[in-house]
Amino acid sequence: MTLPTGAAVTLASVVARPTTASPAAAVLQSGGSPLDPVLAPIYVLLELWSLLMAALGDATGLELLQYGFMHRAILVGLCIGVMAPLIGTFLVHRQLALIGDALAHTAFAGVAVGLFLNGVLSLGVSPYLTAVVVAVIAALLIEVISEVTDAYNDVSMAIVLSTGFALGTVLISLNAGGLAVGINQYLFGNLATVSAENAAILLVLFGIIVATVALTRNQLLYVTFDETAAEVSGIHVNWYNRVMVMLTALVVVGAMQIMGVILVAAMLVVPVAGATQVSRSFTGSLLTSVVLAELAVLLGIGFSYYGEATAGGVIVLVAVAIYVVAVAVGKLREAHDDDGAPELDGIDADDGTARSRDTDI
Amino acid sequence: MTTGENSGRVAGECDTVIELSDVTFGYTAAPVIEDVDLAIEAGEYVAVVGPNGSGKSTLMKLMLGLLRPDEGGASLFGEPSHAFDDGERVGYVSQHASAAKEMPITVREVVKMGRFAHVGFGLLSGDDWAVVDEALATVGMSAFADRRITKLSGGQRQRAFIARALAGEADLLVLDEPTVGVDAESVEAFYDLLEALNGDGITVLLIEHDLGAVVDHADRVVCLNREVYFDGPTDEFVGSDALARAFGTGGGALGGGQ
Repeated sequence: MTLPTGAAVTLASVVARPTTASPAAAVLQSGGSPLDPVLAPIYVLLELWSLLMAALGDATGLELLQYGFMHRAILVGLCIGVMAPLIGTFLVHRQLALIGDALAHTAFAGVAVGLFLNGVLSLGVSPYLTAVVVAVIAALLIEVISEVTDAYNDVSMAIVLSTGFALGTVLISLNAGGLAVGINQYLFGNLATVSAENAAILLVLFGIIVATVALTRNQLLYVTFDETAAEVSGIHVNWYNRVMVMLTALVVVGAMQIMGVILVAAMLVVPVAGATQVSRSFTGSLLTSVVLAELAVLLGIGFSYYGEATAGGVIVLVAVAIYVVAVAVGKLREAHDDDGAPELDGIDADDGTARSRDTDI
Repeated sequence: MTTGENSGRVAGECDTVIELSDVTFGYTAAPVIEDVDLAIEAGEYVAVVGPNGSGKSTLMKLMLGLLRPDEGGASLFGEPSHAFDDGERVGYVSQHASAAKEMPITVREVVKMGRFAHVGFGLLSGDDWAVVDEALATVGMSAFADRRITKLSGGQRQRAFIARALAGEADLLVLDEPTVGVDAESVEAFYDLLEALNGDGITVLLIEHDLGAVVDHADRVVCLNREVYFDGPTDEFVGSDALARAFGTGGGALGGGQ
């Protein structure tokens, strides 16, 4: 098995339970975590996924499909490709792209809290779980600050971002020893360190995020497009803003496994920016951003595996390349658009029927 | 549109649509709105005018419950404004949306939002889509339904926003300086539409900077500059000195369309 060099190092030094090619073994090795009883049904799903990927590997002869850790990495990547642009679309159009970055850095503090607790109290809690808790609290904090000050402002987000990162580095330095060695995994992400437990946590986050957006899509769209009109129509804007930042926190933590703290925000923003260039409708831009993100994730994982490079960085570079193509396609389309504006009908409020007028208004 | 039904519902339930009693409000210690008493009845066409910074938009927010008065009370359809949650009865048209300028969204998707107060978490039914299409037809925008809204002119965009308000089948239309940046011809068409909708029984509350448009179209004018300087029929407003007092000028802004 040819592992990327960096991956092999971190794999050996960081993961408490080394990943193996056998899905059954992965399930067994997830034993010992307090979450296992809860996650048991998801481990079964992971096993089925692994069998499917192994069969696909046999059929195609692709080397990267021969390994259990890659099966999980691909699954996690596919989930990120859906949930990051799903939430990112709402954030970008509210001009809140920076919030992803701020929450990623607080999630890093959450990882440090988890490592610290594990080191001091031997709790055996996944650092990703403590990252979820800390990032969600930070998300609510940002939202409450914005409600009190009546605006999302760069300064408060920058403060939250720096505080998160500072807290993380301090906790890690206090708890030095074996832990500091594996910190690259959280900063830059790693394909090889997606354990069965972390993949299962991600699937739970994915389910929560997709279900929440599916349920509240009308309200989120209205709040994104026109906050005041949404509020007048009876939507509790503050509640939906809180939902949105909490979902962002969940996405960030979920995507951190592969993307790393530093690059995770890119997946919220870059595919959405690309989709904005080539889409006309909101629904179209949502779907396009997911397609572009999936393309970036799958190509990025492939390139990083065979090129022995860090997956997060490669995925973002591919995403940016796709964005550049999307900008070019968007400009070309605009240039070739005949833009033959249709006739504007006259206004008629009497019977609700529009009539064509000779002169446009 | 089912505007006839709407006006019937208003008349049957509560004749006073908006009521402010002794309302005072300030973002800081200094009040922006002071001792305002105001009642708007169902079916009225009321314009609120005043110079920049006179508190027009704040007054609108107090009326709609987006802000709570420091003193006094505000009610909407007989309920305290801040507790009013029957959002489908109010249609709101602003100068512009809060989203990023480049947000890809079609006119139909914007108008569809008018139905959200009715469908909540659900999907739009066939009937809902019929109302959306009817609202688009009413403002003459059917041919633009699948166009990206950011590619439209200011006038066309405002038509889409008013269609969104119509799609909500609201009893009350609130418009906050809706014709800023809209070309003169479209402005005229816009006011014709408002007048027709008001004729159908919809209460219209217009926050407006363009005094000429107000004088030409509204039935009643409220002239505001922190406090109410005038509240009465439009023709009496034209002959009064309220404008000069509120604006602190000779009233030359009348008809200026600034």
